[in-house]
Amino acid sequence: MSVFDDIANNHLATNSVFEAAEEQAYEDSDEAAFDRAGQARKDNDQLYFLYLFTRFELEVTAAFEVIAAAGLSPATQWQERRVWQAWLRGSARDIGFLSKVEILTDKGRPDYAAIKRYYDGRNTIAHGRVWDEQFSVRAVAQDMAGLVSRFARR
Amino acid sequence: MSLFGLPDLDEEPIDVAHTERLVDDWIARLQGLRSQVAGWLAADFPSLSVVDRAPVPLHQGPMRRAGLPPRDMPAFEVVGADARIMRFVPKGLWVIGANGRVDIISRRAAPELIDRSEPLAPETNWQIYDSRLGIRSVPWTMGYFGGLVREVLA
Repeated sequence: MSVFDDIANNHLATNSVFEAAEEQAYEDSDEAAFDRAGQARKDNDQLYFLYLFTRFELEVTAAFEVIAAAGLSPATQWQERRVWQAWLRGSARDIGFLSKVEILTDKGRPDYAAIKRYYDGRNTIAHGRVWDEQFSVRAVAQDMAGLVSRFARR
Repeated sequence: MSLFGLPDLDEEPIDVAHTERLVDDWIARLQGLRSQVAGWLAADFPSLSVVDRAPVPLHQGPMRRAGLPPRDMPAFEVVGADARIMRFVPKGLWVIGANGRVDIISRRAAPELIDRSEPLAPETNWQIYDSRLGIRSVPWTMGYFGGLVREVLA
């Protein structure tokens, strides 16, 4: 089971609380309670998306560091190694998220587009500009596990 | 750069006609869902029917950026002679992890229905995330829908 499945299971537990509140409000025909429960469910989705993204970012950095270490290895030809040396003056954590992603997946492929969409979603929430972003947390968790499994490893 | 050192949100030029097509397609898919549910009821639960509810406004970020006006997402409810059975609440088209989301709320369950198709794909790929079934999705089928209805009628 991946870390993304673990988070999806945690989301499941909390989401069930808000689902139960919606079910009760529907049974009671309490529209105000129904709306409140729906908003809480949405907020919970946003929080879990951020949590998923944080773990995804760690996976990106870890996979990037493996490739970067190989690039810096004395076994790598100097013509290639010098590029890595020039680029990696500091920590891999200081390199932009999407730059690392470009090392791990082809920029022209759907995987890159999906990751870019996550990144935009994360930034949208972090900026606090648009709080109406919608998420399907369990779908994202499943997709993130697939994306990580397809990262370039060398 | 702005808040917390995050890059500014994407303000890439947006294709207005394409965005309008996406919205039209989403509303057509919601209307198709309503017709599908009505057809399933007629086949298995002839005493139940679909009634329209007040539409849900749709005016997500890409629409605002394209200068498009708000649109109405059709919302509906399954009802019997003297009882409400379940409500279909469209949540939005631009959903991270999905190509549109509708929440289904009854007094017994509140699953998440998402379309996993690609934008403007000729066929929908409706999938259900039902918290009682774990973190994986199951296809949206007449059998699943019938089960939801029977739970309420039991």
